[in-house]
Amino acid sequence: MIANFPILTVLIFFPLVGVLIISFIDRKNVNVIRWTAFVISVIEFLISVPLYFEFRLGTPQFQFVEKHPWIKAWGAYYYVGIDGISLFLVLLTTFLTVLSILASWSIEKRVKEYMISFLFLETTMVGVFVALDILLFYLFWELLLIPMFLLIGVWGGPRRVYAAIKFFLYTMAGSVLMLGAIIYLYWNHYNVTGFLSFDLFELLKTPVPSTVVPWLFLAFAVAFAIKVPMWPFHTWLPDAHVEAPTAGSVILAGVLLKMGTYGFMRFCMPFFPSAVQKFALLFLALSVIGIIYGALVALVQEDIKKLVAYSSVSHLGTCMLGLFALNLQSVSGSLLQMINHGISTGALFLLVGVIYDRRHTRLIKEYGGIAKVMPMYATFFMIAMFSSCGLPGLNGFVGEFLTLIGTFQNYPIFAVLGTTAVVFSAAYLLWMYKRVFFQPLTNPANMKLKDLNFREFVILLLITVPMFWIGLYPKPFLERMQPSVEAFIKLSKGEATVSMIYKKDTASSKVALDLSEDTKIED
Amino acid sequence: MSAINVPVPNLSAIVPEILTTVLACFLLMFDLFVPKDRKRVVGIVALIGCIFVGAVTAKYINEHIVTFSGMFILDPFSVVLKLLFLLCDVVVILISLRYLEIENVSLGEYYALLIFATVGMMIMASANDLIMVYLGLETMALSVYVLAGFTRMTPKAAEAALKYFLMGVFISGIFLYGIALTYGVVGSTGLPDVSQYITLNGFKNPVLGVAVILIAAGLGLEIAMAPFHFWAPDVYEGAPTSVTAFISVAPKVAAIAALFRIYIEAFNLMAAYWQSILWLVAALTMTIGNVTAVLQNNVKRMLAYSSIAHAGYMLMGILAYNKLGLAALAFYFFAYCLMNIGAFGIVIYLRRQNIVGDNLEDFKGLAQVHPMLALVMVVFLLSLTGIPPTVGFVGKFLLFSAAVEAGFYWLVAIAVLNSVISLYYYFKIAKVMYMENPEVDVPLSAGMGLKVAVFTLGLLTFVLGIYPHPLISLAQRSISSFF
Repeated sequence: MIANFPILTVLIFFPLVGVLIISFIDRKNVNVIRWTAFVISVIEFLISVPLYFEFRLGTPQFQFVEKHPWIKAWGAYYYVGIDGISLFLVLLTTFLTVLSILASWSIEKRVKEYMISFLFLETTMVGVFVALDILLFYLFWELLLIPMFLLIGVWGGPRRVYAAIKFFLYTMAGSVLMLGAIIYLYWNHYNVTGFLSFDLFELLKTPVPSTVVPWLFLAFAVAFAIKVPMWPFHTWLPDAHVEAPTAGSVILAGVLLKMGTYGFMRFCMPFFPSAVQKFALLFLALSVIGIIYGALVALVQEDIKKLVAYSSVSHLGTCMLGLFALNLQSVSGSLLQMINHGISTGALFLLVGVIYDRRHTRLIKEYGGIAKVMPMYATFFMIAMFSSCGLPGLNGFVGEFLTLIGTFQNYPIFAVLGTTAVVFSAAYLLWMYKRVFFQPLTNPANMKLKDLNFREFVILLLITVPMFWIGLYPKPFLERMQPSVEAFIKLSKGEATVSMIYKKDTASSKVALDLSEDTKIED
Repeated sequence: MSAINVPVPNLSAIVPEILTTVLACFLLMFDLFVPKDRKRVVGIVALIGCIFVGAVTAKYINEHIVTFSGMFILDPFSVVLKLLFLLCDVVVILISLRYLEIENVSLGEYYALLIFATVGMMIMASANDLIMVYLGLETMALSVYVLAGFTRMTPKAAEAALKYFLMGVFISGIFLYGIALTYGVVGSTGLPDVSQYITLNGFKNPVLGVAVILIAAGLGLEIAMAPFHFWAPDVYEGAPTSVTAFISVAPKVAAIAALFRIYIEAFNLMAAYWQSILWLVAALTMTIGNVTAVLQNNVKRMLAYSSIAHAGYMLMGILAYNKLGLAALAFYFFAYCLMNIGAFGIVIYLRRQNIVGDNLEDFKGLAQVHPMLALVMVVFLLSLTGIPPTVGFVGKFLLFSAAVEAGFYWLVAIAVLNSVISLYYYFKIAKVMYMENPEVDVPLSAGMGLKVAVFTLGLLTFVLGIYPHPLISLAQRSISSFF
């Protein structure tokens, strides 16, 4: 164990070092900027790797915990840590950022600002997943909107400004609702216990009046459902995805959507078990609608990127289905599916980006038969596609299968309906694949398409590795998740209290006690 | 007839006011000896004077003195407000120095008027008697009317000043009427006397209810709360930008503070009554401000409506009527001062020969020409929207918390939705800065003072957002004399 090394803090703030370095590089040295950003992101990824190896198995406790006073008057802490739920999301973030920056080589416009935004985005993403102080979480959650807003709005497609503002407004609307709920929880905690705290565990412990619970649950749920996005809050997603630059789409699909599901797992459901019970059917139904709706709409898309975007709505529906089914298999599957979706949809967006860079169109009808001129590209596309529609042996299968059999135990009808996702996704992806890669090569513009260059090859190779890894040997992932998933289920079902699950190590509880003295408001 | 016994007042309580008045008079005299093209010197002297007065005032932070037969009170809350007004002065002087030269109105009186207005606001902050509030209000208002029309050659400014003046005079009559009614019922205008009267006799006389509304209306003009907000956009747009920065912050804060003191000290037992009215007013104010701001293309006008909205948020602090609400209010005053004057500072920054700099188009592509300036503007915009990590978020958080604690859930819901609306128009500015290309090629030529002011404000807005502890403890200290 790398004792006392503040690894999470380093992970959060290291990209900012990159921001600082890049801001001193002359904007004309485009290549220097690109390489700096790339090197920074690689180092960041390497720093995050020990999390995987040093992670203690068999315990739901938070690990790599750091806690320092932040705003004393409010009892707010700089409090970070990870468990089996956030571990993989952090790894996914650092991994996808490396690939995204590599995929951004084709960006020519204002490269300096682009890379700065991207690294800043990484800081906020890691921050969201590791924050255990709810105010700190909110800070990163909101902060994240700014770089994403800029990435879509400055470097996006023709309707970028519209998409950026829509994205920002939707998310903000959700976040402020959540803020209201947070404020309520905070004061409720103060009224019950007499000291101020934003500590996740302190707030989890505090009973909330049962009349307010549904409202608070809904406030959180809407905020996260917009981010997921669940049907009917999904309308920002196709716009944002289609207009965002390739790397932006990768991060958006790969990481940002997971923040919604992560929010459900970390806050919304454990906080309000009684409301979970009450609203479970509603959310299951919405998930299933999302699954089917997303798939059907994807089926008729003419734009490849839009097709992938709608497939996200469908896949994320599966994740939500698993979460609300609330048993070990379904939730593990759902969590795994989040990672899978990040990888396979990320890969699909990267692949779409490759061909868009060459032809500047994403319309399916513009292509046809390009497997002949781009065999390597076609191969990678096929792997990613199979991974996305859940072919056994690849990652998508494991997640989807677990989710669905888990759900079947509790809600057979929803599981059966959810299973259509597998059929549909095969349909829209294979059909698209056929129209783009097979059929006769008629369009003269496609005759001279160049196959992958070295950079693209490396990116795609890297992202294909975890597809096979999770597909063939998911055990290391599942065993790391399991204790945290079990804890999550117990909390969300109201079967266990926080103090039964999360033991506070004596050191940190002492800090809390010391500070609670001066955080009291004298009456 | 016996001689009227006048007790000797404790003059040490009004040392800040005396010093400020002396400073203003001195500036007027000093101005006579400064040649026409060097009026900037007067500004710098005013600046130093303000800092000096601030240093003296700060020493009174722990005092609690009631004097002038109970008409005047010096408590931590008033001292903190006085410091805030002086801070506003310092920043406004910094952003005015060169701006006035560009506008061709570099006159020494400008600074004197600014300081006179400050005296008025200081009195309002310390007033413990309705007459005293009126005195301060008028001292402040008369100076501000002149300031609003300072670029007197432009029709817009003249219109602004006249409009402001007429509205102000009309409303001050209403305010006086409210005072008269109170006096008629209670037989005194002292805030504690009113409270005592209500304690003894209960709240039976409907005249008192009318008085409560009239007093709010009188102060409501300066606060720019609905339905007394109509003057604000025209005046804000017409007045010189530096003056707009000033009147959008300082008089508003002074009036809210005065309203707060009157409601808490005099009409505390009628809380349920004025809360029910103020609830509606606050909701209306923030909604009207934000919804109308969406339609604006002139940044000064947009900020004018946004400042109406912010008045609505601040009213929540009074409404909450608890310790947290007051602390939140004190905090928000500072936050608002930093971010709003900062945003106006950027508008001044864009003022060049022939370009007013207050149209949305003038912000086009700012991020490419001046990345740092655009970044600072984004910080101000985030803060105005209430997005972390900025001081505006902390302020809003405190205000909303106070309202939640007081049980105003629906108002908080309205305020929260308003924040979303406000995001839209604030980020219209961010949008043109980052997502469009620059059109005109006239270089910016900001003076040193403006640069220092804008970047310091930006830095403070950010730093106090991450580490608000010092400001929170200041706010908490300021409320120690209440409740």
